[in-house]
Amino acid sequence: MKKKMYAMCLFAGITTVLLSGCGKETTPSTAASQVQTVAPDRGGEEETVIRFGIHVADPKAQEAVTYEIVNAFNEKFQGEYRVEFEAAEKSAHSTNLKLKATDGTLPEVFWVDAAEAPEYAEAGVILDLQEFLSQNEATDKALDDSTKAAFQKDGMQYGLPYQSNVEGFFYHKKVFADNGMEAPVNGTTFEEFLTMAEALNAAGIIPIAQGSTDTYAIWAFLAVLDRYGYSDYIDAILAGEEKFNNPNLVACFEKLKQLGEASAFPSNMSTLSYFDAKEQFKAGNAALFDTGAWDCAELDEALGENVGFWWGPTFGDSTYKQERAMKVPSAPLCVNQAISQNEHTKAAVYAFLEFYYSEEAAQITYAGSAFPSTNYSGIQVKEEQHALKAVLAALDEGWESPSAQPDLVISSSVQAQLYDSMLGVMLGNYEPEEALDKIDKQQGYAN
Amino acid sequence: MHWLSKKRYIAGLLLPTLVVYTLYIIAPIFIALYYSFTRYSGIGTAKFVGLTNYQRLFSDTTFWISVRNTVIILFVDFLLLLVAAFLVAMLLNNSLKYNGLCKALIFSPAIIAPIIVGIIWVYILDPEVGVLNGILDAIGLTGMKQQWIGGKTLSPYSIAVIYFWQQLGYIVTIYIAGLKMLPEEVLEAARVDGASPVQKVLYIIIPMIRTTISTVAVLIITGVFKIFEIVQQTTGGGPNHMSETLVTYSYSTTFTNGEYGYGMSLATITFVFSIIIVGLYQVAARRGEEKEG
Repeated sequence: MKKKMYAMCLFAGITTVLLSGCGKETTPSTAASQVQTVAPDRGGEEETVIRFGIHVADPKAQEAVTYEIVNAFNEKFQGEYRVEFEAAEKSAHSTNLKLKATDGTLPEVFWVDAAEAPEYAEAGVILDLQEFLSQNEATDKALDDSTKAAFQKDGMQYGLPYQSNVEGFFYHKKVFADNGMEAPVNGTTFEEFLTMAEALNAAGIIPIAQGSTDTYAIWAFLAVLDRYGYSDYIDAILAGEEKFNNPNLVACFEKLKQLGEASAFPSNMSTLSYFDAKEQFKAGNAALFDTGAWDCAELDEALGENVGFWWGPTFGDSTYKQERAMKVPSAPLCVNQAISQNEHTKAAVYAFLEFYYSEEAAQITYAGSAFPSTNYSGIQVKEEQHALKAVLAALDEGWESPSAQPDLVISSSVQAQLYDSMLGVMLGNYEPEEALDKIDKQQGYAN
Repeated sequence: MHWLSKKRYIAGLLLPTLVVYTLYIIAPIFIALYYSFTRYSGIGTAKFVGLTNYQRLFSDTTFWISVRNTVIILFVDFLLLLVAAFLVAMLLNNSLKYNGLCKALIFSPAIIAPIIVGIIWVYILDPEVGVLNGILDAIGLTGMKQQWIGGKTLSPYSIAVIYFWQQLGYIVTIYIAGLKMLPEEVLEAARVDGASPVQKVLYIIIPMIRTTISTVAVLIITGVFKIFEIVQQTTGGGPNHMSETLVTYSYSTTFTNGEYGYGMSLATITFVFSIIIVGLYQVAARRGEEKEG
């Protein structure tokens, strides 16, 4: 009997230990319906905690503006609402979101890649924000119709832009000046830029700091696609009526090839990340850096008044408008559909969204040298925000932007192939037509 | 302890492990197999597409590049680890001075997380900032500088060398354990009979540690099919997927491209490949044993 008891205990023990990992997490952060916590400092009154899924591992360092907005919100609504980050690096964040969407534990509010957001909308896991906009007139007005339209599908407002992305080439004025060269200006042609690249190379300066391991970091070159008419015919391509391998994009990719052949990029571009490239630029080893306004604060710190901003070269062989800039809605913020089942959570999320798109948040965003997606005017820029001022000066030239970033209107798999193809041509691994055929092939699988 | 050998107790004690093994190992294999016949973006509903994903493999150049790279790494590491680790184990099995220190040094890479191993080797192999090309430059062998990683050719070989460096100590330890099991009197008898050291190794030691060699071989094969972090950290599978292995390509297809169905077909093929290669090795080893036996 005693032996039997031992065996039973052993069996039960092993089973408990081995199956302990199968249980569902029961902390307050598992599901939208379980987010209520008690705030000890309010005598038992409930504080609603909402989770904000963000695409960087360290929001304080990597998304300082959003971190400040969340802090300001938490301070303002102390004891009533609180926002907590669920942070992970972009690809881990993307994977986590899909897993959480499957088991119903999505954060209440989350950043999601624009190419993936429609899939979440189709799966019915995100909330239609039309109701929020209709209840918050000020927010509705603060967001332009074109901005909202970027995240609408079949009448559903499945997201609202996280920020505005302003992208192009930042340049190092001192590097150009030290080498007796003029920095590029908006309107500088591709041929002029090639000559510039040759001169920079001769002076031992890398023309463009550009990595390839973070494949998505080719923002300035997305505007180049647009100068070859991408935005005009992408819908036809997606509908199967046109191909990526068309004369316009072949001509565009030929220019990428010429840049590679002219050694416009670092010789170790194939092992260089976006962050390595940024360091190269900040150290004065490169003349230009392909990035967006989110790097303004960092570039101010490193380069001060030596930073300039350029939309990129224009192309004489293109029949499309060349005065094209890149100020577009960034990826959307989406809201978990499950919050509609809990009035407290819904109120907290709506309060947060209202604050996030308020003038106060816009002020914080500009102060952090980023661009909000809202249209509040009269916001002051500080004297020391040189990078931001350079971007604003470029925007003042009035070049038009497409309604969406070229890589955000295609599916994730085609997007990945677009990056691969463009980088492959820059690195000299693909011929232009071969690279475009690869995108067409991937588009074929996606259809 | 006779009572524990009763069948019902054995079954009872095995049951929890079997349940967990089935849940976490067996079931995911079948789930992956199911998804390999679907088109699925990771959310929403998976759409059954039959053999489409498997047909696509044949025309996918990146898939064939990843097969080639995996085979290169397998071939290089199989030879290097199987032979070099045995020789190092033979050396360390003797009572040499600083033997313990040598064992510790050789084993140390095995306890470093693979992602850190990748970072260390980036600083060695990077064509621009790497130590290796720097040394070649410094000693006047500039002509021998290579794109060890990030180029079109050498990346899989470099990855194989990194994996060899990382696994050497682990495999040596297994060999030493096998060598320690050898009966001293057999070796002594061989010495008395006048067998040379080479003869002792070829005709006594190797046949007697055949089981250890077989274990090592299986560990190397299955280990190579699991190399992931080293590739991710050194090259990220690039440039342009030229250094992808089957595992990293399966990962990037699934999680970067969001093609879960196609990614699972790659995972299934990787699983089948590893089973076939281990199976072929086991059959060959058994035939060898039967011939000699």
